[in-house]
Amino acid sequence: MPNEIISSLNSIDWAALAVPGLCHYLILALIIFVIGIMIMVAGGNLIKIVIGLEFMLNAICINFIAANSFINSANSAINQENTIVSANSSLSQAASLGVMNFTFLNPEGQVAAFIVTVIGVINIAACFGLICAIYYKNKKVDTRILDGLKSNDCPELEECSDGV
Amino acid sequence: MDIAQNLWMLLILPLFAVLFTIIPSAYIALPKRRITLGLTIISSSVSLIISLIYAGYLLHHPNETLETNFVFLNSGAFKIHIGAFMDKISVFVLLIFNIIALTCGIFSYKYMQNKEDFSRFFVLLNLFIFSMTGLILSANLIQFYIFWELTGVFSYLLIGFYYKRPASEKAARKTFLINKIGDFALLAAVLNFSYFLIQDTDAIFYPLLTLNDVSTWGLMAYVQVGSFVYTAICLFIVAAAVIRASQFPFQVWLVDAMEAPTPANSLIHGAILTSAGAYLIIRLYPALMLSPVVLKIIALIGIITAITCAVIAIAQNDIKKILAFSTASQLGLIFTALGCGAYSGAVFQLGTHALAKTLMFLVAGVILHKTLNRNVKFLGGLREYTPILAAGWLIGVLSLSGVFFSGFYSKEMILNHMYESRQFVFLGLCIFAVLLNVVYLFRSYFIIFEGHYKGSYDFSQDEDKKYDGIDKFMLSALGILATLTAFSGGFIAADFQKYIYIIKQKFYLVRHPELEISLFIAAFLTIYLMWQIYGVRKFKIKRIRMIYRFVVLQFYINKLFEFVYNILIKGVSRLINFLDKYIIGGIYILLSQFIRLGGYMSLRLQNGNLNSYIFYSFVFITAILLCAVMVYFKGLSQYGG
Amino acid sequence: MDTLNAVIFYILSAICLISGLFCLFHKCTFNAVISASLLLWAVSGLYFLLGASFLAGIQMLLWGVGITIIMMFSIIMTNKDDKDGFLFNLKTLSVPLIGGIFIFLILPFILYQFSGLVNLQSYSAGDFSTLLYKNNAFSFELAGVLVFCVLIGIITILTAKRIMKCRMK
Repeated sequence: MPNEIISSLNSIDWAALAVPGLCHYLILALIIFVIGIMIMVAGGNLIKIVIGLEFMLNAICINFIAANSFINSANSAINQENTIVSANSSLSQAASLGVMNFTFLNPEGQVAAFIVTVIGVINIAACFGLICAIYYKNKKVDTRILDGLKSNDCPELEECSDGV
Repeated sequence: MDIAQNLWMLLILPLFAVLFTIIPSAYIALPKRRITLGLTIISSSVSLIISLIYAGYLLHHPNETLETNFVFLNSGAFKIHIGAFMDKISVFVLLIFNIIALTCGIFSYKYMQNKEDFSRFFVLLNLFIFSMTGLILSANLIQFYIFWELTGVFSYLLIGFYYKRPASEKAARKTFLINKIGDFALLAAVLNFSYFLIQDTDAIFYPLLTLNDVSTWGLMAYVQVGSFVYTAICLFIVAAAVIRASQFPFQVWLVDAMEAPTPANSLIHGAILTSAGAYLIIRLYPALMLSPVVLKIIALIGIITAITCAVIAIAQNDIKKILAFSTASQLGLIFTALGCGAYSGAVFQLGTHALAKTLMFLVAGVILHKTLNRNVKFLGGLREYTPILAAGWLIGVLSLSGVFFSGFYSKEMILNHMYESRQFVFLGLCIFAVLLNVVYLFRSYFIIFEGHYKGSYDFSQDEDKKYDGIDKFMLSALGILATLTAFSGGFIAADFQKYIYIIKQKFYLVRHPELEISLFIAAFLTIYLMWQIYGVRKFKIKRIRMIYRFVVLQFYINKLFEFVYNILIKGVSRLINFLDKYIIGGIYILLSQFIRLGGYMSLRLQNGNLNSYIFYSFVFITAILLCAVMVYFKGLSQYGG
Repeated sequence: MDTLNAVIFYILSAICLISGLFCLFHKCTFNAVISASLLLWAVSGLYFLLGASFLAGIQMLLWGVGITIIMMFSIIMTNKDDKDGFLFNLKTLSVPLIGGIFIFLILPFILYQFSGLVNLQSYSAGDFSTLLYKNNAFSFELAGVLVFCVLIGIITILTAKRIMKCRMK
């Protein structure tokens, strides 16, 4: 039994595995995502929750960019269209049409990451504004004390608001 | 225009009276009581006039029947018709009923004047008149059953009229429960007949269970099922009739039903509702004749009731109870007559009994209205103060006992038939029952109207008043009934058997002199004896305590019913209550507690903590992901990479 | 070259993970913010490795600088100097377990689908901007409008109390 494990371990190409591929980036993003969730769940104040949100957004961006970089998108429609144009027309015509005389590849993942970034930044800025507003009202940003969403109907609930 | 179309008027008129009683009383400030009375009188009078017109028509066309109906339910071979059917029997019964309804309506105006819920009484009265008219005019047995149930409902409401009194409520409930047994029996009979007739392919072309042609479908059913099953089905009908007619041992409900207002008693229990049982037998007689056993059972039950109820009536001191047992006994005689084949006599007796009994109930009503006393021991000597009431009561007594007036003719028909058909056992028992009737009827007369008055009512205040201080409305009702009770029999008896018969025969007044003379002698001797005991009080009857108690308590039949009710019905209802409350209710409560627990647990999740909410979201997403991954890998394993 | 890429990747990844864990466990909020900022800079380095240089620049500017400053300001304005650490209780400790399950669920999927992909394709700023303005101009404009609306919203929320006070006076 141990011989079989050793032989299977020996059969793995460790050198090839060490080269960072898409898997590595995705795993890294996954771990950052989970850390972000843990910060959101375990954080005792609102600022830490927002930091956790940041981590999650960044993990998403890493996913998008890594996927875009590693997955070959040379056969996408937009590339084929530009190739035909550049093959059939002169440079000036092509330039007048606003099309470059080379085949460009498709960074859609980066565009998505960009949009996520922009929206995420807006989101976080808004969150911090809200944190300040909450602080002005309650003088605290501790999540254990901010329980405005708590249901007050059940009297036994007063015993169980220990939170996470 | 088809004359039969006007039959619907008879059904619609009481409903109009009800409608126009209810609506104006809510909105218009008019003398409501007079309007209510006026509507009832108009409705009853017009119905009576229409009935008279139809009676005249049918007299001139003796072999005709009038029928109008429409298909109420159509399901292929199975069709239910609703309509109106009139022949000589139904027109006779309807005439009697309309007369009684009219007189009761007039009487009730003054009787219910100072009582609460005046309008409610008249509404219920009119509804009862409607349901009874529908019963009499029913075109088929299914419609008959519907109106049978309706009469039961409205009689329940009338018995429980003084619903605030516990005795009244109890009596109404008892009546309803006992009558319900009969209703089930009738339903069983209807369903059985329907079922077996539908099997017969020839029967599907006829309206189902039509009362126009009872012998035809009765014969079809008899051929289909055979003698034994046919007899069993007919016994259901007999059971229904027996219970409704308060025959032995089911007379207990009639006695308790005396809690109703007196006009309701006269209309319902004295005359009409109980007669519905006899009317059922009369209508289905051609079908019942196919099973001689059934007729014998009817006769047997009838004679037992006639004798036992007469015996019980002798021992009663409540004026209404005397009349109640009298009703049961007289109906027993009618059942005996039907069982022995004296069809015409039974039908005629139904009419004469209804008139006489209503008269006696209304007289009792006047006495109660004045003296507020039902116990005959505290009456007595009323002939001196109210000779009009004494005359009315005497007319009723003479008619019911068969000594004189209309009742004499009907009893003649019955006894002559038994004599001629050589049913001497039943004849002897009938004569004995008739003599017992004489005993209690004349006992009641002598106790109430002879001797000295023992009550507390001051009759001197009525000395200056006309007609012994009796109100004109009450008096007019009594007058109409007394006249008809006294003289109607003589006019119609001669031709009665010409028109209403099973076996056609001519009526002779004195057919068998030996029978007549011996009966008269026996009756007069009995009257004389009663006079001596209760009139002049020359003799005093020594009561044997045990026997007396046994008779007064109706041979403990009431106790038996109460025992059965307490053990069986109450026991079953307690069991069902337990099942409903703790088992089914328990399941419901358990479910609601589970939901409450779930709600409480989910409420505990809502602790207002943001971290907790994020955690729950994360757990939920993980669960979804787990499901998605499982589906993905399952798909992979099924279809390859 | 590949070896250098690999080494840089592993260093940056380690920085990301360590700073993330540091942010998670540290009691002081300010220190957590600093470690978060470090992670954001490390991520921009990763973007360079992936050939998304333009986005790496955006990452540095927006996340590394902008958001860090916002977080600093929020700490200042809320006087958040208390020492909130990682709360060790049953629910909190179940989070790593669930996180582990989460990773465990997704990891095989990643390994199965994407294990063969090691060849990188880098994109220039021209490629990126062409696609952005040619195909995704609408979403870009929408994001701009959203920024504007959020700004106004935040200003309204923050100044509402002062406006109320002024009106009452």
